Amino acid sequence: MKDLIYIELYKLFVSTRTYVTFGIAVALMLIINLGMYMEGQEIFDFLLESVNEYFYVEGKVLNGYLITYLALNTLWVHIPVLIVIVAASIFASEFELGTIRLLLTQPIRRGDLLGAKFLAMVVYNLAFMFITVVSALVPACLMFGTGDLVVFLDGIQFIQETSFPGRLAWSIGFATLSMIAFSCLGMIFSLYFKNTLTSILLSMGMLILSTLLQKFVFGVFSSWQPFLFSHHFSKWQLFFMDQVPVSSILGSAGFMMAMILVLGLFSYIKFKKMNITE
Amino acid sequence: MRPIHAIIVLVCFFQGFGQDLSDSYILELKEKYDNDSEVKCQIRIRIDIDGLTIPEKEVYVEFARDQKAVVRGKGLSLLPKRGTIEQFRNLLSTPMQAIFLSKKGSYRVYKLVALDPSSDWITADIVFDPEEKLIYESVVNTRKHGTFTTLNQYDGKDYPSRTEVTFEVKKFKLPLKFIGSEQTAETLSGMNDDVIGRVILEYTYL
Amino acid sequence: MHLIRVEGLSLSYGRQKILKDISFCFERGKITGLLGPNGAGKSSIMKILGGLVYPDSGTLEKGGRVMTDFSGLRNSCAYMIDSPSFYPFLSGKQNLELIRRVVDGPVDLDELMNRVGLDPGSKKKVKNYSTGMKQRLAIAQAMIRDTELLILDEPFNGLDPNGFQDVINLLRELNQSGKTIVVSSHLLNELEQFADSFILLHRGNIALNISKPELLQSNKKVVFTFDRTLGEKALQLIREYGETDEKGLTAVVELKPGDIAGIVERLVDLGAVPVNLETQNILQEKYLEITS
Repeated sequence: MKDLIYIELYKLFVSTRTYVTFGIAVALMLIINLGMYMEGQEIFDFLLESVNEYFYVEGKVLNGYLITYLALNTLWVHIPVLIVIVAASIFASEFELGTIRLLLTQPIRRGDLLGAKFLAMVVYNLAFMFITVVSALVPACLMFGTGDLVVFLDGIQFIQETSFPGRLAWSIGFATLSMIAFSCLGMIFSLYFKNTLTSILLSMGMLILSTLLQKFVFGVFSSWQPFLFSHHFSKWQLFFMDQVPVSSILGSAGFMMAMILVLGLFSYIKFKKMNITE
Repeated sequence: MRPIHAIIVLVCFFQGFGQDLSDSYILELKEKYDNDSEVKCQIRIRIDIDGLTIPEKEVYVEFARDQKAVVRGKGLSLLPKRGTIEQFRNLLSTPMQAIFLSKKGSYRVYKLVALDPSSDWITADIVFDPEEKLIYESVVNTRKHGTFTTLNQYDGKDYPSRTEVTFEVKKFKLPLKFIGSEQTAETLSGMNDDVIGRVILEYTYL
Repeated sequence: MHLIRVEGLSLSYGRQKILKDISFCFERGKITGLLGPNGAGKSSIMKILGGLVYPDSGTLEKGGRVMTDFSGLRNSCAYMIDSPSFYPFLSGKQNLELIRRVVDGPVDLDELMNRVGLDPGSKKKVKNYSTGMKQRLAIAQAMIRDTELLILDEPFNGLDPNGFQDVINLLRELNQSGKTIVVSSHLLNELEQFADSFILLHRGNIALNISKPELLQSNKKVVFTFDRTLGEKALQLIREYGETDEKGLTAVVELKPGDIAGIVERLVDLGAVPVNLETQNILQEKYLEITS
């Protein structure tokens, strides 16, 4: 099994696609930093207009921590899209290239191969999130320094600078779990459709649909919320609330774990029983 | 016609009832606070407003006449624009008419009416100790930002050791789509409610 | 004595029956040729034995053990499936290294690549390989493990004559070292030369299952050409075994290979000296007979 994991990681990290997605993520973060450098102060003056009516706001509103937090908001769409491109190809490309036969005619178990690919996918998610966070945090802190964080969650919240690293770590951990769950969607579509592009499109379609449905919070639509991926995924932001709603977050983490388990199980069943005719 | 307007009319037509600036108590207060002295202090700020969450902060502040307060502290801090010790100078240095309203025990209650149309306050009810020349309560009606109520406690000094400022404010607006915040039916429903803002300032003078 | 025996093998894709309850075995230490037209089921059999496809029914017997899970055969069998695929962004050697890692094979990859006619030092990525190079690489990959059974699906595709001869020699060498080899191919003449037995598939059934000695014992079609019309006695002799054309200048007869010389001698005695003698490949003949 460890040899299979090695092979999958090797293929992952010699593939150009992997580095393209890393590069795009870094570029996104740098663009955000640049945008904030040029117009950030104006934006926050506008956002804090209502506060400014009653208070003098002293200190650095626009700081590296705030910009990192803003950059993470690209998690809504951009990052899942980038991640699923590679995650889907980890599985689908073997069918497209025909190399699945090369592997499965060796004396290895299908479950082991699937497990190795899954682990490679997890490692990719971890690497991607790490690179994304570092490329957001480091330039932002170098350019703007650190400071308290202003977040717009349930009103306006000011978060102490000292608590930011811990909150960020937990938040990224939760977001990574969410991305792994989302990647599992790419995985199962890949196994059913054996095509990278189809898998990516379907996964993105599900994300867009979920995000759209999440906006409908009234009437019958409100009962769908607990079943929407984006409803749970968005809870990464709650780590930046003054009083972190731990039970709500744990519930959503449980949803993600369940999603990983269920999709993983269906993938295993599908792959185990699949006829490889390509 | 609002009561305040009636009072102003009465003051204008029946000057005999009005107390002009030469009221000795007010003059003594003015003499005490309307000066160029700089005040330096540490302020512990506690803000309690629905829709605004900020941890307790301690800041170093320098108050000087006709200058914006110099604030230094760790991280971000919010210093209320009204209700700090600046308000004494702000009130008493504005051209105004002082109307004695009543006595409250040993304290005297006055209504101050701003005569300068450019001042940010219109009227202010103050409760002060004429012996100690310390203002214990004030209710200030501003032109643009409603009414501020301050309650001051003293610790043997000329300026308060503790001030509680309350005011009415609209729940702070959220930039709904800017940062893609999570909106639920519950949070959306309370968006335009007026809430009471409360700020507690604890002073340590340097 | 057989190495593996397959009984009652059936496979269908949807309503289409690919293999219809066939049974066969591969003799230990022999080379078996698997033949058949396109769509006959050759590749399907190889995919079933390779654990890629699950049959509807069938059992596999090896070493006295009967199993229904054919994927277990992979432990003692190496495969080369048709149209071999590798990771295009890696070189040939890098591809082999990945496989070796998985199977924990002790083989020297440089030596292996040299053996199949590839340069182990080349950094060329597989996406730039020719078809023939990919075939050689596929054969090399099947040789990473030292298994008792080697199954090769169309190993000669895309090979030039030199490459083809190299592969034939390699397979003979492997067979002489004791390996059992199964090869599918459309090159009937060549297959007839080096295989020990033949299984011919047609429309999901085994149409012919014959060893080489038996094949050689079967009648061969011989075409005699004469420069003059045959005499009556010569014609009578010819008609016992076949027929002539209208002019009596060409005769097509079916003879056992060992009888050809005798017939030629008798014709010569009768004054009918053939100026040309052509024999058709028996295997090809049987193939065409069954599949046409």
